[in-house]
Amino acid sequence: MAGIWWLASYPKSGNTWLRVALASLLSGRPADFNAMPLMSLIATNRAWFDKAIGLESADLTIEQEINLRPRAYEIWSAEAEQPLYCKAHDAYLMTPAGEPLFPTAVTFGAVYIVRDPRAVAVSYANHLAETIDETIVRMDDPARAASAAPGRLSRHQQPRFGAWRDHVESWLSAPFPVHLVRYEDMHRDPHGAFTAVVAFLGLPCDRERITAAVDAASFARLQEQERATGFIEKPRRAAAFFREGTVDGWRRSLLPEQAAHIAAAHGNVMRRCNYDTLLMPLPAERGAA
Amino acid sequence: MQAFAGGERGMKHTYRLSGLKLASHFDLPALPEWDGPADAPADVDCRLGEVPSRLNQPDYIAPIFQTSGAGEYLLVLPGTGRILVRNGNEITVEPEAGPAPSNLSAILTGPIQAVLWHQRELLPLHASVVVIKGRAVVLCGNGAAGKSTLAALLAAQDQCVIADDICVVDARNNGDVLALPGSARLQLWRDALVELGVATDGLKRALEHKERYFFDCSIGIPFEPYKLAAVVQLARNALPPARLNRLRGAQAANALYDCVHSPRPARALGRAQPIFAAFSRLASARVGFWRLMVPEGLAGLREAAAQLLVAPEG
Repeated sequence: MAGIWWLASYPKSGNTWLRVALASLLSGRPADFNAMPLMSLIATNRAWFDKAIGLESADLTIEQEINLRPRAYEIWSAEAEQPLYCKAHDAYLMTPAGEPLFPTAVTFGAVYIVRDPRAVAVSYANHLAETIDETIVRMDDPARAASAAPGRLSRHQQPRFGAWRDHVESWLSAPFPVHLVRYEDMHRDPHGAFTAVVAFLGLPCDRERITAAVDAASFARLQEQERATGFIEKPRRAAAFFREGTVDGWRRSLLPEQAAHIAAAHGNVMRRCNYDTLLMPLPAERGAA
Repeated sequence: MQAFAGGERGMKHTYRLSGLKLASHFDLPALPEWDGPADAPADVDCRLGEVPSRLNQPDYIAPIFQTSGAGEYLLVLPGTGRILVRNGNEITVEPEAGPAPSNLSAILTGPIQAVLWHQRELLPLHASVVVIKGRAVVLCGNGAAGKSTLAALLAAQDQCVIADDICVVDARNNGDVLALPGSARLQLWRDALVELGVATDGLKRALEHKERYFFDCSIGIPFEPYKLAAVVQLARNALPPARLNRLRGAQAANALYDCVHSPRPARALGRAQPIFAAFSRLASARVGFWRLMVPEGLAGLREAAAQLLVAPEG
């Protein structure tokens, strides 16, 4: 039996960057993010769930869907011929039936990508085409899931995020090996951060291939490809998926009270992840919320 | 324990199931009412009854279903109930105690119907079917690919929808491969109806707990099998325009396998080899296989519909 490596993060935290880099490393050539056979698996993929379970998830209640997701992962793992790499935006949580959503028995481990929640708020607000204040409320809601959208069928099942702080803590206390990687470190030292991920996953640390994979996942290249071919994961409302990709762009976009709210709501976890909660927006360049 | 009616008592509903007569204890609004002779015996019974929690000698045990040989399939779905399908003609349902399950009808007319067809050695595809230029075109693809919405757009351009969600294909004989008419009652989500300019007021919900509605786009289609002309697999294109590409060889075979309805139960019921053989039959009957790359949104589906209407035959 193979097993699953979870590539987990809160939304807009660098998950796609990591998957493009891994896809490029494993295939030995720059990955096309619209066609990454080795990295296309997403924990909420409706089609994969339906094929594994033998029912259409669209017919199920939300509770039935989430209770059956661990069974789908067990089947994915049992039928895989090699390790699976699976993107997950859900928190590490228990299903209503009382078992872990991500079953330990089929899990190799998880790479958890964390990003400063002040930057997440700005990026996620753009992604959802909503105000930053609305996104801040969303990130503070312990029961937050993706929009329920009862009037449409999405290609994805509904991920359960919870509050940003709970999302981070849930994965860092999961009962299997978890490698924490900071978005900011991937930005500052992509080669070093990616090499550590590759070593954690037990993949060969070939320096040249790692360099090529990091280059293939550079933000400029991702933006260029999105302009040329579009990105199938971009929400219809968002202008672009790969928007800015900066570490401290939030300091030009957040109001002081917004930054203070985020620091108050998530401060303990921010400090644990080495984010300076006292850092404030830049007054002169601050934009409107 | 509920008191279960026996025999034909209480089977007050009769439906047309792609040419078969289905008698049912349950209201199944996705299916057209039976319009054949009233005294015709039912080909399939769907009754309320006691259902065991496991089969006597299962030879395939999945998380929520088991099978025994080709003739027995048992679904155990917490929150809905237990459903036993036997020999392609007998469905027994024991709903879970408590409030009536909100999705029982959808489960019966979706995956359970598919199991029934697998047991009857026909080929159910997860697809909508539209008759274009007199020939049946199967629209298949994953959930949320836009199959039903595309069918609705084609119906608005005077094409005839003959099936939604399940398309039953008869490839058993050496003659033409046939698509059997099912239901022209499309099941559309609210956002699709809004984009199509259709008000949801007065439409019946297909699921109580989700905003999926029935939308009749042709009334009283005659029961007449159509020659199957093409299988069109819908896939997402990140940017316009819509593109229609011919599939051949392994790509065509994979397109067919990908659109088999309930493929895991089918394998468990021993249908893998017959489905493989069906592909050869479709290929030798000159059924065309296509991939339709559809940009996001209704504009993308309109482009896709236009492509289908001008596509070459076959």
